Amino acid sequence: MSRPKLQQLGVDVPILPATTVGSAPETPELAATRTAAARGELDAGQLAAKRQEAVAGWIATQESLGLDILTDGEPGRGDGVGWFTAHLKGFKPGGLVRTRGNRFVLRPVLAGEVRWTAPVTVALWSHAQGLTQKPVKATLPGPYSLLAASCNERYPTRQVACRALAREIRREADALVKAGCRILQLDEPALGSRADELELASDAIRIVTRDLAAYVVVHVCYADLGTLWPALLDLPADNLDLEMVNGDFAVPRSPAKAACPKDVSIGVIDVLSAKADTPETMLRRVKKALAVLKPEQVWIDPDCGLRSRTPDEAVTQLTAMVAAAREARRGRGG
Amino acid sequence: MNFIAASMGSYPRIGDAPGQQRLLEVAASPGRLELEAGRLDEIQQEVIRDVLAEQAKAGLDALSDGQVRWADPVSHLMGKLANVTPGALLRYFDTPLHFRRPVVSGPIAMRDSSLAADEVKWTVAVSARPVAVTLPGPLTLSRLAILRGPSYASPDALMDALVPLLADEVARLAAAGAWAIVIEEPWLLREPDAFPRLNDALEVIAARRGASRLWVFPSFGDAGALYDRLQALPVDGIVLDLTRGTGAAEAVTSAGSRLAILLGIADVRTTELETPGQLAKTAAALLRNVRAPLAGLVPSGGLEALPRDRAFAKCRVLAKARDLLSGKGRGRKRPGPRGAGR
Repeated sequence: MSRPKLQQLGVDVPILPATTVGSAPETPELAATRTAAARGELDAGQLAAKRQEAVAGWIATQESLGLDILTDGEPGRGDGVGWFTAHLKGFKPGGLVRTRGNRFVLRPVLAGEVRWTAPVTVALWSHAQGLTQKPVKATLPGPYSLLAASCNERYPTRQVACRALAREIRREADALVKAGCRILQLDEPALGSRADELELASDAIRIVTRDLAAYVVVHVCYADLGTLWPALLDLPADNLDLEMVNGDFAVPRSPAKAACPKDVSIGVIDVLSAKADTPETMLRRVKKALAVLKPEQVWIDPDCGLRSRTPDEAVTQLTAMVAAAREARRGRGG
Repeated sequence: MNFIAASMGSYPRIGDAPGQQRLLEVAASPGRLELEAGRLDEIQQEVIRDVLAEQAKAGLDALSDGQVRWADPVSHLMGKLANVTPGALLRYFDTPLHFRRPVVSGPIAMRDSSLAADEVKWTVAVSARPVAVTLPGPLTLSRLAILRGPSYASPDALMDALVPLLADEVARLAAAGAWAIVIEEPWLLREPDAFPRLNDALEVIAARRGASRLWVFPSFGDAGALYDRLQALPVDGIVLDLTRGTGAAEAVTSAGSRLAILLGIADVRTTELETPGQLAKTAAALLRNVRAPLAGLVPSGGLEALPRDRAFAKCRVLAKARDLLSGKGRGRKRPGPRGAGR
């Protein structure tokens, strides 16, 4: 349990805090900005201004909804990891690869020695944190999933490549911490794609997080969590952010209250669905988690990022989620 | 020994080149929801023709329709069964692709005339070369399903129900002219204790294969530890992923093979291109003790994990490596796979 660590870091969050995984819903303005940027119709200054506007709008939305831990909404990040690798030396753009249905991403190629040269996410995170008194969580690709999302042509083994990526992500993490970030999330959606590489992933995450002055969340989604549990508990993270509705609460069914040493963020919104569940439904999901976890361990959030939802859908779902979180806090000193 | 180069399963349906994004354009078009099913089928057929032509141009002997019509490796078949609905989204093993776990809520049964054979019949008719079809196997399908209700008490019970349906489908595929049918079983490497059950299932399926060759593919891992048992399966050949460890390669080298053997030596997880000389040398060493009538060079899995241009390039490398391996120079006539032993 890592609540004392949050306190040491000066981060004040209520019990059963409500948050999001990272991305905000795609607004028409953001879509237009993305298109204009891709066509080269915006210069760097104009693009930065548009993204700052988007961040400001999302921060205001989260505050009005009553979320406890905010994000910058990740404007400028499309699907995949190309938004990040475009800023790292050693990567070159790759071709289109299908991820599901008719969704395609550009799969970057790790063609040379990877090298971080300058902060990628710090400016927008700082802008977001400057707009609110609430803590803003920063989000970065995890090293294992960055490897999985890329094609490695440079390094002799996956292990060597993964460690190299981790060292460069660490530099971005250091830059975020230096800017004042105290909650850092690593997105590891590929965790579990090869059960035999969980240790490799864990070692790489450790390179990113060792002695980092931040509370570390590792987000895992669309993985067979049932087969990863309880090995996930060995990951070097303070908080495991797990998609739960999509996975039908495969975990944590089994761990006894005393057996889970980490905080767990429980996904209570199926972000793949436009359907809005009621606060009562979401509260039931929270209570499922509380049957096996202590309240001090539990964070409440959607299954994954909200990019695929419309703004109206996201607001409706988050409103219900915050209501469920408040109800769950009732009588618990929150 | 007859040497072939072949493609297995998926192939990128979208590319970066002009004209290679028809399916993406359809998906993004404002009228996509109103698109007539017939029109979508036409576009898919155009893409399949391109995919077949591309593989033939690369020099492959046995081609795949690229599973262009498939939403994912699981739903395409399971979605055609009664009492099965799409469930949780899950990443498909070690690929960028995600699939919907099938939720089985009652007794499964065919809802259509076939699971894939009708499509394959068309593909065989338009393909200039023999067609290899890859199907997910009953072990993997049963383990990836979510069971609801009393119809199936366990994944094993579902597997038992899937086997006759897949055997019927194999018979239809054989009748449709499939040259080879690959039963892909990635779950076997996660659950090797299921080997006897898979053996029993393959006996039932193999009995219906007609003139087609039936191969089994324990994909997404190193099957070295299972190699001896794979050799005893009632199939005509085995496909091995040789890019994820040394165990399978060592087993082939030392034990040889009584079955046709397809060497997955072009790594689908990286855009880095192998060289024909390097692959031919590796294959020659591996096949030293193989006495089977047929050996092949294949990708280590579905090519859809790669961008289209790299998938094509990998196919070309495989074909050139086959030429080196079989001692056939450029432009010399090769016997091809038709009539080759099982």
